[in-house]
Amino acid sequence: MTASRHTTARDACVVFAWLAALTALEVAAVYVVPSRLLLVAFLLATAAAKASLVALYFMHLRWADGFLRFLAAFPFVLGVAFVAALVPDIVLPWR
Amino acid sequence: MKGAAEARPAKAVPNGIVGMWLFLSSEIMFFAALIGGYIVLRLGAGPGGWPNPEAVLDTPLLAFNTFVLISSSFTMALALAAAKEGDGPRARRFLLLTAALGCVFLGIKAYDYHHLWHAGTTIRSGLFGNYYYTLTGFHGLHVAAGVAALAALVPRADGTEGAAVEVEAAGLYWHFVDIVWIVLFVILCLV
Repeated sequence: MTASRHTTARDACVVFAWLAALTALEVAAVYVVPSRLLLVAFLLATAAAKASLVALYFMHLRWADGFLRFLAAFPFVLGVAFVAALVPDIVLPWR
Repeated sequence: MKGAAEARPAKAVPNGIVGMWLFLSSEIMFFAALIGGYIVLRLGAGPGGWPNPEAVLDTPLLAFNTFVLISSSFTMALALAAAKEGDGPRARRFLLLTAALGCVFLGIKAYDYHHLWHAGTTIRSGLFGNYYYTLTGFHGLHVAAGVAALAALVPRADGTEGAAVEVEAAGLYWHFVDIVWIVLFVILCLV
């Protein structure tokens, strides 16, 4: 198999509870947090936390070997670099 | 003296799992391009240049849809746990439940499209509509493909080790689709 350990049913229940709680927090934050900047930062942080929980526990990356982690991380880093490379198009006034 | 080839034991990663991760790598780049384009247009629109998602979208309904997809990831994880234990009937039940939750997600998405379209937000009504339908449409196609794959997998989940690898590969795809929606829900519906 891909890893020495896999997510058990009990692990899955705990992760599911966290995912549901974080989703509820996201929706509540939209109506509660007054600062736009703070809200965006909070929502991005919770989305990152939820995506990490799914990747680490449901996709077993927490227990995967280095090769599979590399396969998952490399395109993710490229994707973030791609978006970062587009930032000058947003912030510089040459448009 | 032992040779270098004997010194390191091989790790048994099934070809199907490696193949699925390679496929998901290309999918990450696909969605990175779409999401990157959206972020550039969204931030470049400036204050007042983009509709308030709360005013256009049915946020509570889409939050519920997020919960549906998260629940489907949960049942998929339970299907894999059952398949690993060799419990074919339980794995099949959870696979069916996962596919059913995928159908619920698509049904709510169809209702959302219907509601949006009749409220005047179409794919041709502006950048928001264009990107909303493009991003969620491609994601919906991935969900539909996942439902079809799960339906095809149900009769094959017989509790053997080979079946467990197939369930694991399908699960990787399903969880990836869940992650994409987690990101889309925040950037399209909440920010």
